[in-house]
Amino acid sequence: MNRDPGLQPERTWLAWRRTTAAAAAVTVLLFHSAAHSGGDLTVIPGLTGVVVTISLALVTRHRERHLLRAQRTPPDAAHAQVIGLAAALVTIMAAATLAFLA
Amino acid sequence: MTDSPGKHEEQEPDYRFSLANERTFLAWMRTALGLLAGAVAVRQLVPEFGVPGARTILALLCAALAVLLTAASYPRWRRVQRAMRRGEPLPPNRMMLLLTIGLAVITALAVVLVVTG
Repeated sequence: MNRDPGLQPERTWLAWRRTTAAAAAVTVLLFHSAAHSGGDLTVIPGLTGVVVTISLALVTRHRERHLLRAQRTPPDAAHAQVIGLAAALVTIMAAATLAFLA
Repeated sequence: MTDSPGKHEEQEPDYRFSLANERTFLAWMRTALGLLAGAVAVRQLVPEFGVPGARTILALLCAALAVLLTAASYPRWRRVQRAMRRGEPLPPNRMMLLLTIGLAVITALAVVLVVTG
């Protein structure tokens, strides 16, 4: 019983970190793209990316503390909010990119 | 989908399963972010094809698929979590089908564009 008390939480917060890193990488690409196309409004997807990446970093930090503190997952309600927030953030970023690609 | 908690015996699944579900959710997020990166890269780095605007359409398809996947990822996570709480079989994964069809369409279009130049 509980032979890997540390590994599962650790793998999970590393997954959060990878996701945040991916968002940061896409943000850099969005700014690169904006720099090569005219118009002031083209920076909007990049700025959205900055906000989303910072928010994801904060969520990751929150999750990391929770996961390392508790061996059991936190109650589902709080957990669901964090997952829902992350999904909403990345959806906004994707939608902003979609809107400005056209 | 009817929610009737009285009918179903619910209990929290083993935390390892909850964490696995969370990691799967995050993997879907990264898949969407990868598609987003692809969309920007296609728009920025690929030279214009013979068909005007084809590059934009290709980029838009990638970004649209990213939006669909992120929007579907939270409901998917919830359904899996609920099935695990109730001890029911896991729900069928429609996101997998969406990703497969989406990527097949994008790839086929890219091949046609490259061939027709």
